Amino acid sequence: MSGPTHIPDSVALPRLLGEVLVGSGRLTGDQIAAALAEQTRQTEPDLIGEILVRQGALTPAELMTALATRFGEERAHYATQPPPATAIRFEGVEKSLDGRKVLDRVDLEIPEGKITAIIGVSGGGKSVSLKHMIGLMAPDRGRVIVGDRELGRLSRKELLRVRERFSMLFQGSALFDSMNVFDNVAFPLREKTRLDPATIARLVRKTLGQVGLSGANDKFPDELSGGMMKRVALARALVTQPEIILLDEPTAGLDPIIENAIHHLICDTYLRTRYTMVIISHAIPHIFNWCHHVLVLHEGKILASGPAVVVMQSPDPVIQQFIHGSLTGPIKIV
Amino acid sequence: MTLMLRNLGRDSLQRFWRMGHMFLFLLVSIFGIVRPPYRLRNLFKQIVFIGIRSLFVIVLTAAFTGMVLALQGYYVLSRFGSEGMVGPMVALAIVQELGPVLTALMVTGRAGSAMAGELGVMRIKEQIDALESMGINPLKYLVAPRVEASLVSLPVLTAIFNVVGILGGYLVAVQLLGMSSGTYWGGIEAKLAAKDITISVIKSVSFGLIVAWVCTYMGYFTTRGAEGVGRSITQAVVLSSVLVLIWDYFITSIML
Repeated sequence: MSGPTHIPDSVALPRLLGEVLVGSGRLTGDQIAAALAEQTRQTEPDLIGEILVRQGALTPAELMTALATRFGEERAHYATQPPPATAIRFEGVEKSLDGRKVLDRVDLEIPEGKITAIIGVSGGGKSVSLKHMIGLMAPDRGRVIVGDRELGRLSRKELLRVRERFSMLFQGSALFDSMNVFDNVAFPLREKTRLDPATIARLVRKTLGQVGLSGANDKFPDELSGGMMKRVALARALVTQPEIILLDEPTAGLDPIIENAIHHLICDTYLRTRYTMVIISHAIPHIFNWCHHVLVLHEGKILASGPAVVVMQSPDPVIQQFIHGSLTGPIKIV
Repeated sequence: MTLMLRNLGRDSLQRFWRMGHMFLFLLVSIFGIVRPPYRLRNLFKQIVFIGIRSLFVIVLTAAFTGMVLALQGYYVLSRFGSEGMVGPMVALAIVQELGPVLTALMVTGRAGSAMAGELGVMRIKEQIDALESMGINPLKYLVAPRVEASLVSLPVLTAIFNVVGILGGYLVAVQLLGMSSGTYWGGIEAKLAAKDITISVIKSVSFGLIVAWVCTYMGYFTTRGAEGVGRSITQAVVLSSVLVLIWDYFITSIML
C-alpha cells in the first residue's frame, strides 16, 4: 500500500500543490498558470486540482497522489512546529461500562485544524472517547472541553448547538436504511439548515462528486459495497461543512485498495477544507502517514501523544508491539 | 437469606428505576409533540403506517368478531327467548370492550412490533447516535411522530372496528339467522348511548398512547445486537398487550 512519498529532508515549509506537480515533472509551469487563470475567472472558484482534472491535465488518481505527497511534507513540517491551539481537551476523564473502567483519568488534547489519529488495541476506549468528544456519552468523572465550552455544564439545547460544529462518521457508517444515497447526504442539510431544495441538491451532488459517487444518487444502503457506504457516510459528514470531523474506523473491513483510496480521500478533504479531524484507526502502520498527530490509548490511559513521526519512533515496547503487530510483548493476546 | 434479600432489593430498585425511566421517556416524547419544529411529513408517514396499513386487518378482525358474537349471542339468548337483544349485545360488547381492546392488540401485533424492531435496528446500527451527532433530537424525530400518529390512528381504527363489527353481527343475525332487521337496529338504537361511545373513544386514545409508548421505549433502548432486537420486539408486544388489558379493567371499573 502506498503512503505519501518523496518527502525531502530539507523541507522547511510544505510546498503548494502546483509546486509539487511541477517539481515531479508531471506538469509544466504554464499548465499550472492556465489553471490558476481559470480559477480567478470563476465566481465560485474550484480548487486547482479539480480544474486540472477537468482540463484533462491530470487523472483523479494522479491528483490524489500529488495531494498525498503535499500532505506528507506538511506532516513532516508539523513535527518541527510548536503545538497549535486545542480544539478538544479531556481533563481527568473516567468512564466505566458494565463495571469495567474504559477510560481511566484520561488527559488529552486534539490539535485544531490538524488530523489526529487515535490508535490502540480493540476495547481500549477509542470509540468511547470519540463519543465523549461529541457528547454522546458523559464522563463519570472529569471534564470534556470543546473550544471553551465544557460539555458537562451545557443544557441539552446548548449541547445540540455544539454538536452542529461536528460531523461524525460511524464505524458501521450509520446510513439511514430507508433513504437512498442522495437523501442520506441531504438529510442534515434539510433538517439543520434553511437552504432551498435547489441549493441542497447542488451541494449534495458536489459532495458526492468529491467522494467519487456521482452516479449513486438513487441507490439504497443495502445496494452499496462497504467502501461505497463509507464514502457516502463521509459525504454526509462533509456536506454540512463542519469544524470538526470524527471518523470512527473509516477503513475497517475494507480491502487494501479501498482502504488506501479512503485515506487519500480523507487527506484530499483535509487539504481542501482544513477541518480538525480525529480518526480512530487500526490501519497500522499506514495511518501514521495520513495524520499529523497520534494518540495511543492503551487500557484506558494515554500511552503516548505527539506528532506522528515522533510517536512512530517511540521506544515504548507497547507502541512498538502495536505498530509491528507482534504476538510477543507486553500486550497479551489471551 | 441476606443475599436473597439483597437480590430482591436490587431487583425492586431496578424495576422502580425502569418505571421512572419509562415515565420520563413518555413525558419527553409528549413534550416533543408540542414543541416546534413540527415535521408533518414524518407524522403523515407514521399515520399511513400505523393507521392506513392496519385497516385491512382491523376490518377483517372486526367483521368476524361481530359475526361470531351474533352467532353465539343468538343461540344463547334464544334459550331465554331474548334473541331480540342480539343487536344491543353485539353493539355494546364491541363498542365498549372488544372494539378498543382488539384494535389495540392488532395494532400492537402489526405496527407496535414493527416500531420496536425499526427503532431497535436503528439503535444497534448507530443510526440514533448519528441523529444525535447531527444535533437532531431523536426522541422528537423518531418517537414523537409515532406516539402522535398512534394517538390519532387508534380512535379512528376503533371507530371503524365498531362499525364493521356491528355490520358483521347484522350479516349473521339478520341475513343468516333470519332475525328482523328492524329488531336488530331498533335494539341498538334504544340501548347504545353516547356514554358508550365516549368510553370507546377514551379507551382507544389511552390504548394508543400505551402501545406507542411501550413499543418505542423497548425499541429505543435496545442493546446487544440482533438478539437484542428480537428481545425488544417480544417485550414490546407482551408488555404493551398486558398493559392494555390491565388498563382496560381499571378504566372500565371507573367509567361504568
